[in-house]
Amino acid sequence: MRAGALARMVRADLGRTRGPLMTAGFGILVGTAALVFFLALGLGARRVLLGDVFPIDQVELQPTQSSAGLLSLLGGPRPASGIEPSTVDKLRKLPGVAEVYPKLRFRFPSMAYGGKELLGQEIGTHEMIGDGIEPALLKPELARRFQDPMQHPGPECHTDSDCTSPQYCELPSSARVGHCSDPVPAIVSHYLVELFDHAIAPSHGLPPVAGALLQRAQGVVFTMTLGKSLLGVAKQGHERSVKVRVVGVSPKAIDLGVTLPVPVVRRWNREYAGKAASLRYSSVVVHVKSADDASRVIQAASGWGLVPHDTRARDVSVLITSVLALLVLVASVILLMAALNIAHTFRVLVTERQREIGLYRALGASAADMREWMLSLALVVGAAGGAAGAITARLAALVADWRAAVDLPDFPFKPHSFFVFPWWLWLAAVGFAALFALLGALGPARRAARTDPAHSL
Amino acid sequence: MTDDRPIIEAVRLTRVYGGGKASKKAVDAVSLEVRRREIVLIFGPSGCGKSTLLAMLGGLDRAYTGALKLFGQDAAALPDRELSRLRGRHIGFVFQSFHLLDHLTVLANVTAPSLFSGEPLDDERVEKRGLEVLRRVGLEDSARVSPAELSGGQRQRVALARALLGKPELLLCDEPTGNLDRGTGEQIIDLFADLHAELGTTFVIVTHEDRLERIAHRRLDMLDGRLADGHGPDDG
Repeated sequence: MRAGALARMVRADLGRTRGPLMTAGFGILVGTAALVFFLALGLGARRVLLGDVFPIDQVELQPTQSSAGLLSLLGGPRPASGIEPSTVDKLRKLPGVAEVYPKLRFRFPSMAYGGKELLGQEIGTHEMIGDGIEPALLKPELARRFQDPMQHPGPECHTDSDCTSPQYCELPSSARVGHCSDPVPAIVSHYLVELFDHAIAPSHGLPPVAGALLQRAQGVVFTMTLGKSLLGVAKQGHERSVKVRVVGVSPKAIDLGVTLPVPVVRRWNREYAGKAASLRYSSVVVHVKSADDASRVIQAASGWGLVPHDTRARDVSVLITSVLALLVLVASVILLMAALNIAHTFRVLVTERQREIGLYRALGASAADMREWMLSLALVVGAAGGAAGAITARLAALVADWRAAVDLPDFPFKPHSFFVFPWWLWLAAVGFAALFALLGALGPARRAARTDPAHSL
Repeated sequence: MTDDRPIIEAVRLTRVYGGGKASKKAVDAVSLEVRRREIVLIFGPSGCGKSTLLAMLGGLDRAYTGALKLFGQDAAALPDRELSRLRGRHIGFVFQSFHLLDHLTVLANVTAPSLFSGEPLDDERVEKRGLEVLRRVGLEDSARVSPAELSGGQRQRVALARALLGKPELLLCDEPTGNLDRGTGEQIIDLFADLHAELGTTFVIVTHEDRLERIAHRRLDMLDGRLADGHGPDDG
């Protein structure tokens, strides 16, 4: 049957059988709305949890925490810890690895304070955590600002007053004379910003800075004290102050602390913890091309004495997937019930139309035409129900987001929306709805095709 | 050169309902030929199998044994789609109960066969043809009303117009005057005669009414599934 003729018949049916078809379509609407709502919620949860909080596309590897040997307990030499540069090269060559970011943690105690021009008062920490990464691993624009200032040392100095502000005198413990240096560039993470705004600022009566920090913090200089912190002093070297300037925000930065160019950290590690501490990386962050690649990389790295630093990303991923699968199953059951309702409705429809079907057969319609007629009607009902269901889900999501914004207290990484509606979700909604409607109408359509025209007339 | 082949060639057509001891032969080894431009009556009492035979001759009932050729083609060998198209193009049906669709207008009923012609719908052309056949049966003014608003005779005229839409060569009529009063029935019979004279349409009319004999070229009597008058199981 030609598409135009089929469309005309379906249109006529939609008009004269509106009631039963709308009832059948309502089931499809509810099922689709549930499916789309749950999927969008799951995708939203994945985006926040696995995109911002626990990124799933990367795995941080660290050396196995080996227990101290008997010899070390008796004061003997401890086994060297850290990751060799050669191991980093091996990781880079593994299949599925997109990039590798070696990290060199501070191996010395430090403190930091500053921020008056940003917050109106000085704030600080008596235990500054930090690490160093290669400037080349940042975006070019940021990498340009993230260079070791001692690549171009200034004039000789003994104290900060010998240098022009904001430069300071970079005078290592073992040296008698230093060089004026620009503040050491540092990057911070979005996580730190979120944590400050939602956890620290409220408890201290400080204003949240949010996006403003991202703009204003860049260029803010604060003071770091090397070699001493609340928990103690460094094994070697003496306490001194340096200046650090925040030059940007990056996902490559350590979550809670500051990240500096690795040559700077290497230099300070050597100054306060010895040569060995400057030569080995404390961890490496491996960006993988897919979640499956992460498992393969972890397995390969275990042979080199490396283990994941944090498995929460994978655990969260499994949890989200499991919950999502359960919710999708519930929605699928609803759609299945809707399909059964469609089957019943169409069975009644075919029974009532026996004479009409027989007449159409006498007028030249084939059995296949009658089957196409019923299936096309089901397709339209299903697609319309699916589209309406997807729209309903979107509206429900808007309401949910609105209530969440009003009723839920702020928490780190609280998203603007808990839902994600990619374009393919809309198509999938209509597609699945149409599919379930077709499944429900298959039996009645076959029955319509098998109608004996001689008997029905 | 005209085509002298029979439109219908049936050889020992048999239709059995049920199985085993409960089986019943509704049509028993019927053989007949219908030529172009003939008006053939199949005459018999109710339950003699004439409506079943008509359904078989129109390709609506394919559960038969024997041989049937329609327009020179072996009906049993045709796939359902092709047989349906052949039926739609060349055969028109007129039923005792009219079988009109009250949810459609008269014009939509008449043009309904165009939905299954397999050709692209040309609304303007189809409507024009619909009005043309309605005009021929005297019901052009009723094109936009529902068949429910018409009398029995008018409804049968609409059914006839529908059957004529595609200019079929063959009209199969099952008790066309069965539900009509005498006067209206006569009008329908006159209309059949006029159409036959004008269009050369072949008619096969199943009936139990003698009055149709006045327009028929041939009368075949049927009883208990068999044809008399020289056509029966013994004639081979």
